[in-house]
Amino acid sequence: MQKGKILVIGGGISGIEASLQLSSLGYGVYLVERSGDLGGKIPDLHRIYPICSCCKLNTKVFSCKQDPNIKVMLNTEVESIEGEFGKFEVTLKEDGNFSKINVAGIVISGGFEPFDPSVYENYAYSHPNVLTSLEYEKMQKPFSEGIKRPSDGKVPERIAWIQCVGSRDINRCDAPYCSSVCCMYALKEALNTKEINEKIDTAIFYMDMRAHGKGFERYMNDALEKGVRLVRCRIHTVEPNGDRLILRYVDEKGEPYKEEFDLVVLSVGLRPSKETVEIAKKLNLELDEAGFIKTDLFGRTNVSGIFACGSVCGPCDINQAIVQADSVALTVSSLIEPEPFSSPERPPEIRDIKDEEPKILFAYHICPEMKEAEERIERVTKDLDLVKVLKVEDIKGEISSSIKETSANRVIFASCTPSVHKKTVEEALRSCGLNPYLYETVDLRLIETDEQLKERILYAIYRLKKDLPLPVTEIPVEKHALVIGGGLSGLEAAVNISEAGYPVTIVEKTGRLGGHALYVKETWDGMDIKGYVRELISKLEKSERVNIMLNTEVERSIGTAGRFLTTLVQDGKRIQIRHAVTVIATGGEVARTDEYLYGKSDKVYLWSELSKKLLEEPEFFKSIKSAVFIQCVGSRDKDHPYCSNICCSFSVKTALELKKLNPDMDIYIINRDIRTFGMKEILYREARKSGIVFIRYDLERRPKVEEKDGKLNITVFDPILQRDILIEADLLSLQTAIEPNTNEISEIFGIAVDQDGFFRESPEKMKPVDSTKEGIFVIGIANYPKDAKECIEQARAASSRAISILKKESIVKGGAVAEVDPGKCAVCCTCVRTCPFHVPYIDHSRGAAYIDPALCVGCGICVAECPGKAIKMPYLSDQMLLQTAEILLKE
Amino acid sequence: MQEFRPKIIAFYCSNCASSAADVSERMKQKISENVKIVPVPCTGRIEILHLLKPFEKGADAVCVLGCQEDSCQYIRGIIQVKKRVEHVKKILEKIGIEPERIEVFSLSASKGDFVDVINKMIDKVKNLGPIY
Amino acid sequence: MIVAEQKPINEILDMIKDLKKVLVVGCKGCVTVCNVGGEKEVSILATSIRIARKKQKKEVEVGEKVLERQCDPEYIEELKDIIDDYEGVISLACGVGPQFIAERFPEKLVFPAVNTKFIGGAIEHGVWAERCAGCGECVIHYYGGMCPIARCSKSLMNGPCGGSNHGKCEVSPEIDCIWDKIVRKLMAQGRLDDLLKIRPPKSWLTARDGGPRKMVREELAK
Repeated sequence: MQKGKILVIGGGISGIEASLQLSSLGYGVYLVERSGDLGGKIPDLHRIYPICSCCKLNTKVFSCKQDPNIKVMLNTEVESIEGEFGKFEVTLKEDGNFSKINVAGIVISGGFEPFDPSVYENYAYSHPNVLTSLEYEKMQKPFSEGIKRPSDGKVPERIAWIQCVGSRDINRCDAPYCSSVCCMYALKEALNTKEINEKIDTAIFYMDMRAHGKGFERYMNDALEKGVRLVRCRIHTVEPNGDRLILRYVDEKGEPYKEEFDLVVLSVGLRPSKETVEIAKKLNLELDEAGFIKTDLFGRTNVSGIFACGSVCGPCDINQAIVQADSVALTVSSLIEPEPFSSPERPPEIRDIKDEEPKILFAYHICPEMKEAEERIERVTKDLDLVKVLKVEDIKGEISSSIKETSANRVIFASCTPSVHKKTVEEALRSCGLNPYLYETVDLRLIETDEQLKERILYAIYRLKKDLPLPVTEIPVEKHALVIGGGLSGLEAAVNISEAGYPVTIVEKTGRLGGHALYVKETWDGMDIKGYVRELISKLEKSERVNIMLNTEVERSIGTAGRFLTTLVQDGKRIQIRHAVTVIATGGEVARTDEYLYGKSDKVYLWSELSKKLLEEPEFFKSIKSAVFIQCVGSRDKDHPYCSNICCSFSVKTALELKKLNPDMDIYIINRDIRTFGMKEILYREARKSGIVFIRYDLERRPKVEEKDGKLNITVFDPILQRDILIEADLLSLQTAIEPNTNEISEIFGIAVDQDGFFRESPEKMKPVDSTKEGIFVIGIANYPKDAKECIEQARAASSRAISILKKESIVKGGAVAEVDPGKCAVCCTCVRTCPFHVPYIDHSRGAAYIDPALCVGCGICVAECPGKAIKMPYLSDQMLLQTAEILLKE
Repeated sequence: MQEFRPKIIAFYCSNCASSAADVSERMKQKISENVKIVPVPCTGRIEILHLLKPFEKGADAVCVLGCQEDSCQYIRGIIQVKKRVEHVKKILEKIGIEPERIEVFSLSASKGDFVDVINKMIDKVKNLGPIY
Repeated sequence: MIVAEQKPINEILDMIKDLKKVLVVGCKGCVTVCNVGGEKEVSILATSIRIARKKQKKEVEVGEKVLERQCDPEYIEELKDIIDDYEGVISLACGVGPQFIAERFPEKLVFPAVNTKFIGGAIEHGVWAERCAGCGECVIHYYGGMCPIARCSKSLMNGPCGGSNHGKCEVSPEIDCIWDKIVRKLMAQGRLDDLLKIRPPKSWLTARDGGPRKMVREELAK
């Protein structure tokens, strides 16, 4: 196998995530970014949908910069790449200076660029009050001038968004695809606008509202409730009228409307970034028809050793970019042996310092422009009881060496956003044989006077001297992974983890592996998914490291990342497995319905049944003269208030298949929106071209189905014709919602599900495959309905992250956690009921509640709730919180 | 006659509130010396007694700055502390102290309102006068 | 367990308005579990009193103590060393606590800070409901495991009254009609005939009606 370091080109979210994941898998990474800082487009955005997580980017950026195995190179461009897989020689250019690096593999994460709407003369982009969506983001930020009309600075009363500018258009630009994020970001911008100023009228002009992802439908409904107007119409022209802009449109009844707006926002699509395409061409990388870098399911390009992830491969949102980055890191690790910049050392044993005199090291980390802060710190700390005061750049390295030099046994770390730096400070303490929680942070923000800084430092010194943190333990990592669910996602995860060298137990409750994929003829882009699944099954069956357990269910599980103990039941027998990580891929089922004569007529199918029939009896369809698909049956309504993501693509793809089998078949797809997002849009166009008819309905006026004389009579109100039409059909396919299999499993593992029943993402955010508990990953349909490609990517991302844990010898736990004093515990169950992470349980052998220090996340909620004050958290004790008032209010 | 500068204790969490503080810092806002900020990992740790004690020791107001309800890293912390603040308001009212002297705020980096809410609190308390 | 509720603070302040030194005593038993009289509540009450009196410009010294229980003399005895520093004692325990303290320290003024409400259990976190009226002769097994004395507003023993309204009591829609529940449960269990059994009238001698009660365990008492 080739061995070496990796070059990551592009420091946006995808590049950052790839670098972090590669580093955790043991690689030295060069992260090259052409601009002056990491982050890509996210710092330009105001909030992220559906739940904001922009601030979490800072944590990731900081981790990259402090990681000894990631060399961040800003203001740097790639000049040329020579060589081949395993031995690439890359010439970099920074401020006119050239340098060469040698790497074994290259990951391109160059990102996208927004479409430039100047080619649309009819959208009047040259008018000052017509902006692109990215330009509008800037106006919403708290430190901007506010939402104002650029022409005269007035606060706008009415703002319009025009969707699909530079997407779904082959007429004025070469973008046959859907950029997949614009509907959601327009909703977000409109919602944020309403939050800033309720009175502003916000109207989004669209063709299909693509709210197909996790939590997106609810987000859209929330926007509607808050008064965001959605007008289904693709605006043709924006007519300037002085400072205002006129939009004319015709509604479905044929009524013309004319509305005047103060601001028009063009929701521009995503295009491949020019600079990256240049590099791609230099490297002879294949591009797809839209100009994005072509990759296979695993992120490989056509050139050996060169990989790509994120929006440079096709339009995607932030979570998808993160998943692809983690997946690509796995691909790299399966082809290249890691070579770090610096190998991790084995840290010394942790020593007990309770008999030592407190010796506090004061370390501070500031940006270069903060001269005033630096002078203040030096002034204030001069006379305080500190063994050394030290400015640090390389936090871990310099703190470690200072601790050793001064024999300090505690650290005060001062910086602007202390929470981002905590892990690094903890690592520094650990590497010196000290409990990683022997530190306090001092917030350097919002300080005006010396007195304020001195107060905060004195408070930190007081806290450090008062109490010692709880001891930490090193838990050895169980080299074993448990995968629950034998469908596509579970199989992919099991194969990846076992091929990386770790034993895997895969549990399936039915009698066979394969899940639903075995009943799918092919994916939307023609991949033989059942063949792929059979290959995965074969790999698992042949592997000595894999234990396949069929007809097996999970009974209970306890533990944490590194050390889980799970009880399985197979044929009445109980088997216990110890493992370090859990990957949950329990999938979902297509919901049944009693609408539209399902169950009453043999001509009416659920889409899963249709799929199966197409696979097993394609001949049957040659005799069908007319087929109808009804979308959103019992879906996107009060029963299932979410979108099941793949049903529109399924119908379009299947309709095309049917047309191929029988070109004379009349096919109608009755829908509420067509959500063929991303590249799937191309299928939609093909479908319309091939004569498939799309009829839109809404919840107030649903289609009606009756059976008469051996045919189905489907009546639907056509909005364009403004009248009911009757379709005589031989076949009706109902696309119902996908329901997740999550209830029991979420209880057993103590992980949360969201309002729609799918597994909830980690509250730490920007971790799309992490559940609410460390070490437990949730992938595939149980995470949210998605197509095969995304399932595979998620499975690979989870495998990648699981392997990062499995690689470790041990994990440090405890320290900043809560502990129950059994003597004071009234065994009242309050902590058991109120812990958001379900950690405490009543241990009858102790006669008290027990909090496993390996599981506790240290939030302190149980400490606050315990009626008898039996739970303590030394580093955030009552004493300290009560003394706060005394100390800080002393005159 | 010296100008009344209210003494305020402000507890803030290390997530959303800290991110909001970041934005305030970037906008070069400052807070006055009489406002003492106390960081906690999660506002869910703060109990009724911790909110009452500062009043006993002479604080003119107490505020709690935490996450948005759907963004708490520890899921329920901000929700729990909001209930406790309500309870403290009731106690204060009954013992003759204005319940407006204690407030809890859900901040977000998108508004960057860390210093804004503290300043609003200062203005409000200035009108109420010193606690004793 | 015994479920109690704290008295309004103004009532408590009124009790001690002429005192300058009071001791607040909590209990780690039932009142801790229902968040009324444990260590936390002792501190909260003490702090509230101090703030209130500071505001009234009549400062007061308030001591804080928590006893394991206030229904065993050994624990009351623990107050011996500190009680002389105080003029009055505020007890946060159920009705037993303040009385035991008053008996053991007859010269001291003793005030109850809680109203003892009922014997009950938690039906969900933070919500307690009455289950037992302490009648002294438990017959829940006659009624499908439910007690009509505690849970029927009229303590009826022979069936519902005419005020049973869609499963709720006519006194308040928040009160379940326990007889509705009893009948439905016995019907579901196929044991409705149990209600037809003739039983001797209940002797209320064992209840509070028979006078203050005492229980002696011969084999334990000295």
